[in-house]
Amino acid sequence: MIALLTAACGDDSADDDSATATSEASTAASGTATTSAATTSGSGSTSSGSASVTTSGSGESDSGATDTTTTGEPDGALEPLFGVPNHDDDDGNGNRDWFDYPFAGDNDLHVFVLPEWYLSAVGPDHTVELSLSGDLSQLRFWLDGQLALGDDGEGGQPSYTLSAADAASAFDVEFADFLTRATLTVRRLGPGGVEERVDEVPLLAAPMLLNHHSQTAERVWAVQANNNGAMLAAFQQALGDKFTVINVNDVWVQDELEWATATAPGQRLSVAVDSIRNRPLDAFVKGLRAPDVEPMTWGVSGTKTSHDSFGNLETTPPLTAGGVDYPFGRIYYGRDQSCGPTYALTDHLDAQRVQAPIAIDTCWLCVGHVDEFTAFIADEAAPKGFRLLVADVDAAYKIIDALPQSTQLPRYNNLHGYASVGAIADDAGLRAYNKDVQSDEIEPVVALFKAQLDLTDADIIRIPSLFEKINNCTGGKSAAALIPGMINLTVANLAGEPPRLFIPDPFFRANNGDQSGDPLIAAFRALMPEEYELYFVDDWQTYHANLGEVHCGTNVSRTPAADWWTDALHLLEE
Amino acid sequence: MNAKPHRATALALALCLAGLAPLAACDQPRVPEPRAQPAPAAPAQSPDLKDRSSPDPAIAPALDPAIAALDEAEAREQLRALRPATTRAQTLRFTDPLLARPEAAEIFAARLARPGVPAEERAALAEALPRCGGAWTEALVDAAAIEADPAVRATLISGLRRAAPPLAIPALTLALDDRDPEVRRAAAEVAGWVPAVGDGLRPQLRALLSDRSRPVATEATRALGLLGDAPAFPAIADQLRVDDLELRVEALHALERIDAARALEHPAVRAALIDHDPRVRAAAERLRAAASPAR
Repeated sequence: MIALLTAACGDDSADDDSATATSEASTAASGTATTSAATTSGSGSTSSGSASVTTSGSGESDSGATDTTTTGEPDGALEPLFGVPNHDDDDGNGNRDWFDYPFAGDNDLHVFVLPEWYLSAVGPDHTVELSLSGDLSQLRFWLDGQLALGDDGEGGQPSYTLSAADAASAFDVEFADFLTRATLTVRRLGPGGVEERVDEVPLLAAPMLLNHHSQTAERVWAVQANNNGAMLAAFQQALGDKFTVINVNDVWVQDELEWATATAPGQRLSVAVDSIRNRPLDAFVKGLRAPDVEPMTWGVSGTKTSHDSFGNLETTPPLTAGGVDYPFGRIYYGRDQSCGPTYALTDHLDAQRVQAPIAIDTCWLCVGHVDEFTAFIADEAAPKGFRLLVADVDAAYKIIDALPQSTQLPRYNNLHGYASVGAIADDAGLRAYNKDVQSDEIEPVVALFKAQLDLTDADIIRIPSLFEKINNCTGGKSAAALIPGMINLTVANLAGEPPRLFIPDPFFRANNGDQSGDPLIAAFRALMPEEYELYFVDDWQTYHANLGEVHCGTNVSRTPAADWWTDALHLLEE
Repeated sequence: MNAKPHRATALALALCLAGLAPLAACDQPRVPEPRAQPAPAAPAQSPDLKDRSSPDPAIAPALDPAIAALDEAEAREQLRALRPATTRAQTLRFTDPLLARPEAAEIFAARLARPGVPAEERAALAEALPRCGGAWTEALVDAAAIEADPAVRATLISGLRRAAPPLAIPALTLALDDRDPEVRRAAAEVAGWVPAVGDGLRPQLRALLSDRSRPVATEATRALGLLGDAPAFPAIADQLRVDDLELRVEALHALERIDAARALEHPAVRAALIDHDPRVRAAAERLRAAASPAR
């Protein structure tokens, strides 16, 4: 017996008893009929439950639509159909394709056709009835360019009948949105309209999934400014044509844009999540629109705060926590009672379910972003395959206190008011402030990550960091990196190349030109997994002085690393 | 308000508080002096009280050569035209290396005093003053004395964290009594941050423990803890009964810094160890660890 798709993927009308196996049901009017319902076999606690769900691949049809026709199964179950929402604008006419009449170039339609084994049982005196349940306004079945099922603007077409001669017809299926769900019921009717067989085909559109640092990088962006030439040159030299420089008067490209994807077998929609911060980079993000790339915004620009920037929106690598497998990691962002991103966005992220978002407190920071004191990097040698990097002031003071106190710090004098190592070490107020930041703000977040992600101390790397107070931030809590936040780094792991980290140069040395003499660089190097190439880049004037670092000034698109329709259905059960 | 008498008063008071003026002089009513009279000479400073606005040339970084090469007129012109950048926090901030020029403090103070400058830019000017070359402390004290916008005034006061105590103390003394709570809070923060400043302000800080503004009371609590002010112990312990999370956490930290072992015996601290709020519990646990580090 084949485990089919699912109560989870089916609509609410699915028979609970059919959720775990093919069942037989008697129809009152027309004798015995076989009812097949695709289902996952597991409980949802791990991804193994979805292993029995198979798909036929992703061949392109002549029309350009993807063929997700089911393959034959010994017991004749119809397979589920997964798709991507038709949010993009393949023909570039300015309309989202869902709002366009189907056209030849729209590659986000999915072919549904009854499989050969099914058709062979359809005789000349048979008909096949298709009926759709679920949200009919979010799905369409097209046949020869005409709407057959689903959204017609007037409540939806719920059913369509095929003659035997038409039973092999191919439908183009179109989803309106992320996680659109419906069930297609296929009834084979014999002579006299007797129901011979009933199959249920779950239909499910992809969730929107944010990228994490373990995914392969595809492209890195940064903005050209007056004083960041050395940093851009370092990226250019290391990444070559995978690095793109943007020319706009707004360097915080991490904050305006968050890359996400929605995928289906053989298909990928890249979503350029466009922040409501709406500074000059907004036009750049909107200009990314292209076939299969769609800028989308959640929230209203007039309501923006710093927490709506996407340095405040990150994702862990894949992990298992609390017995639940998260093959796409878990989203985390900064929110507490007094701050946080727009609920329009976080509600949407919550609704995607696969990456089960976690809120952490970032309100104590002037900027208020998660990337200022946390990061995740892949690590082959780590128990879980990754490490959490977390800012640690004690680690910094351990180094500082051991240094010659007379060591001059040219970069720190003008911007931070500390001319030497001793000036930092001797600032009692600074030391007390940092101690409190660590115990009151950072450690509770570490505890939360440990609890939510099943982490232990072995999964965590403590990065030497110091914070200062910024005087004209709102409110009494206004921390920002004093030492350039080495944790605020960019992970660029291009395919076939060694993984690279681009880290703010801390300039904790007398000779700015000599990185080999920098004790913080040495400490950071010693803490990092061996597989990484480390690039300490000068982000001081353009980024650090303006309360950001390398990560804030870059953005990376990444390749999806897993298939949600095989690995994450347990997280989508209803 | 005329800034000049304030500055003179401030300097005189500084001498008194620093113990560098004759006692009799300190008993005199603080009458503003006419601007025409020369200000008292600045007291000799110990190295750790060095005003960072006048860094030791031996340790001060050289100006960027291109900036150092500007003649004074050019530098002044550029400083007058300098625009702030928009930070990642979406605030304005001046970060140009030009700020290191010795003319910067004077120019920025003048810009701050100019009518019609938008509030956000004025806040940025105030924030930048302690990073300016030249006599920034004097400029900052003067500006704080006449500044009408409390947010800008608070930013200016916060900048005194970098100032030499003899110059900071008089301005902070006034600021601790400011009508605006954010200014009082900023002043209390500086007093706690720099012990050489805060030591002379303990009575005022103790009075602020009962300030009607919770943020002010919280900052005063923190400051007195940082100063290790034992006389404030009972009043700070009483803060643990106030229904305010931030205040209670700061009170626990303050008690830890004043006398952790004594604090651990206090009933309110022991209650905090089993408080319903995890942040309070964590602060109490930190105190307990400080009281018995070997455990």
